[in-house]
Amino acid sequence: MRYAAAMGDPLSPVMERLVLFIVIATFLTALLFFALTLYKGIKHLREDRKKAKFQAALENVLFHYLFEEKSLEEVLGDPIFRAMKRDVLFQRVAIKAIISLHDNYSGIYSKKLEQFFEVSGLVNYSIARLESSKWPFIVEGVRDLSTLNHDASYSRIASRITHPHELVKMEVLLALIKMRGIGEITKFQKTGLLLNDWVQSNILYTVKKHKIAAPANLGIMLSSPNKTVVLLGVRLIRYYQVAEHDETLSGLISETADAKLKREISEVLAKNTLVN
Amino acid sequence: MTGIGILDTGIIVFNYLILLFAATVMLSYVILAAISGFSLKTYLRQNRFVNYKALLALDSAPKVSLIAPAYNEAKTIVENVKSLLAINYNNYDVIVVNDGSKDNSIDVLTEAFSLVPSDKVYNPQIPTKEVKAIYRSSNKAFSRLIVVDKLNGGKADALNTGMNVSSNPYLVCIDVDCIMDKDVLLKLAKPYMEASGKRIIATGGVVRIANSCIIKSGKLVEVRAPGNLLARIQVIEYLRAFILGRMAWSKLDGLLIISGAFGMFDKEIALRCGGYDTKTVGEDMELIVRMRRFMIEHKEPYTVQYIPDPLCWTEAPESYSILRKQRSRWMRGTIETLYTHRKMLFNPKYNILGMLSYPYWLFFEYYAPIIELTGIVITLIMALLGVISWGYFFLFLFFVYFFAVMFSMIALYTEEATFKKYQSLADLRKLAFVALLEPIIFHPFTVLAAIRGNWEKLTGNKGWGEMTRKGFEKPTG
Amino acid sequence: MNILLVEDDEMLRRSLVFYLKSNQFTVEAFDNGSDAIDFIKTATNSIDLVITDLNLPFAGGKQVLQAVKEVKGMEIPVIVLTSSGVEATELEVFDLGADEFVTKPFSPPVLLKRINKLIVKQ
Repeated sequence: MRYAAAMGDPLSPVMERLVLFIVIATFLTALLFFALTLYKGIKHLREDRKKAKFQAALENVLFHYLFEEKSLEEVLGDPIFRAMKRDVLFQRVAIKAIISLHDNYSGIYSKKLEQFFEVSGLVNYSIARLESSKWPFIVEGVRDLSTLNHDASYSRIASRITHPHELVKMEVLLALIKMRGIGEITKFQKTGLLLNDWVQSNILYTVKKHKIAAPANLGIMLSSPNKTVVLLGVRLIRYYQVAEHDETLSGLISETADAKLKREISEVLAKNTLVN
Repeated sequence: MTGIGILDTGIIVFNYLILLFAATVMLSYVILAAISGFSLKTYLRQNRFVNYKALLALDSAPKVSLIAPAYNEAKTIVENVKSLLAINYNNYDVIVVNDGSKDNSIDVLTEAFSLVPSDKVYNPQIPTKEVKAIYRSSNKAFSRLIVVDKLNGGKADALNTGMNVSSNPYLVCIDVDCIMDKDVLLKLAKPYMEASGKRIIATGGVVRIANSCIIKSGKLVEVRAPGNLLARIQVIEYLRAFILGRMAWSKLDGLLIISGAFGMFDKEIALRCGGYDTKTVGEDMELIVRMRRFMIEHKEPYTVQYIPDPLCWTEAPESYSILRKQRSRWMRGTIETLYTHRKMLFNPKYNILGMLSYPYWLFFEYYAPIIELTGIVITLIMALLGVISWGYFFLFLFFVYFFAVMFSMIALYTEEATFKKYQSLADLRKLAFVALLEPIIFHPFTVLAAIRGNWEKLTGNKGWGEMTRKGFEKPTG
Repeated sequence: MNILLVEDDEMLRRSLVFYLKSNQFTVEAFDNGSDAIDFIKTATNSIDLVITDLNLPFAGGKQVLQAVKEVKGMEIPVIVLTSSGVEATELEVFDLGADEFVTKPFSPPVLLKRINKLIVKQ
């Protein structure tokens, strides 16, 4: 590109000034982006340090509450905790930590974590997110509230079913399944949510992770005119290992022209024969 | 001026043409950068809350074979294969193809993974060099591993062998010494699960440079700016290409290349169009172009997806001689691919691929170094003849220099605003510093290497430019 | 009692260290398989029991298990932590020589019971 400089005849002074101006502008833009990069870098480092500080303080409070029978009032009264609680970054860090523990611990421990979430007021952060107008915030709110079993938010979450964004719809579906069971899926018939493999794997993940019980009417899904619903039904039957639909499945396998459906049904049938 | 009428006119016309070319290049860079920035932002917003692990819950998640050809890599192969086996995914196997290594790769592998002959029968759907044996591990911890021992036939032949051995519908072809992100398969497979209507024939990922990064057991622990100057400049180069270039091409659906190192393919399509071409040195680029052409010619709706997350880390050459070989090989690969598929140039049948991507690669990748060299030569001649307006010469020189620096800074900023892999300010400063050097010491070098690639292509020198790898240093203790 | 804990989930690892320590155990914790394996190879005598997650970076839990079982002259009991349902590997884990497994999510006292059971066996 350097050859472009080899323009032959001299041009007017106006032109010369214009080129000079462009050169300076380019230089300044380069400088600006360098400054912006450093600014971002410093910001990220500061945030990381702050997060580490919050994390340590939070663990101190949470672990004593969880494992050493300290009462909720006692730990929440901690002055350091109370001072930090107002910081939005702290709220985010705290909710993330609580969810991470909640994922791993069951029984009274998970109940205690849910209580902590609610009584400490962290729940208000999530509720505000749920009520936000920005879709990524809604997803965050829906996920956090449903993961921590905040039952009081059920109807607010359910009302988001009509949100135009696909990702919000999927998150709401997963939340409702988690809170009320697989039957909730029927509410989504008219929402236009595509039950592609990705959404289905998320449903199965939710079902498996939270050990959602098998609905009584699993068979209904098999008679759906929508092939993807049938496929989900087959996959759920595979997970629950129920043999009572074997006959319907055998019928389906000869009816359907869908190769994928055929293959998955035959896998289920083979597995069920093995089990029984 | 020279005073010779025709020559003068010629010089002026040529000068304006070159100015036009340069302006087009720069303008296209700016436009592509803008598109990239915008789609990157959208991508990150969409993916912020994605729970990739959910993919593990589906028994019928896409089944993938990782194909890793190996040639004389005994030194590092065990560690590398172990790290491939630790990738977070349910439905995959790792096929290591020993391409007639002269070292003891097979013995090392047999020892480390308790290999025993597999009962798999080799079924060459694509003809390849003779396969001596197929092994599997007798150790349950390594049940995903398949090792193929074959006669030497080059990388493309080894990849074809892996493709023949694989019984899975999707393939990821990689260099065995690449450092893969633990979630690489989850991220590459997800688009296949969301496909509706259009068939996805490939998903491509981003390659980043691993020099000086802290690596443990074949996994990336900490990202650092390379200590070696040449490698550090290549970080800037890769950031520019992947963050500011490919993302935009993907948005335009005109991604000609799935990065040199890796991508996930639909095996059926790859097989139907004949697998990797063993006659080119740019087999990865050529295959993806051929697959796209195949889909268009068979009128099957398709798409190619680009995953901008850094998923694969590779060692960049630290010496000029190896870098020169690498770049001249890339140039030959480009020439061969462009030549094989010359029918696509300005052919509306191939949509954006024929009307925009192909011409772009032809003019800005293939011709650019040649035009650039010509420009320099003309400038020299004019300087000798004393007809240069030096004021303008330096003005334009500064402009081009600052433009390149500005572009690097934008790339660096975008990286820091999105993936923020470089965590210390010192690293950011180091990278910004080499952005100042890049146009002076690195760019001219790559131009010369590209010219050399042209020369080698013309003279029929088909040497591979073997890349000697020093191997990642093993952690002590 | 020295316990080697290998778990990559930061909160789980830190909370378990806290929990086990407050139950009078000494705990050495790692967030990845390869460091843990190195530790097993060098400090074999100071390990009485291993608790490992299955899905780990660098070297998987299966490799950790194997490294423990390859230690000559002593049988160090291993408890494997698995994620419920998502990984169908429980049988596989016993095949590889795990002595017990605990499915996440779990209740810490259950883990404690398993630990005590294995120690008594020893």
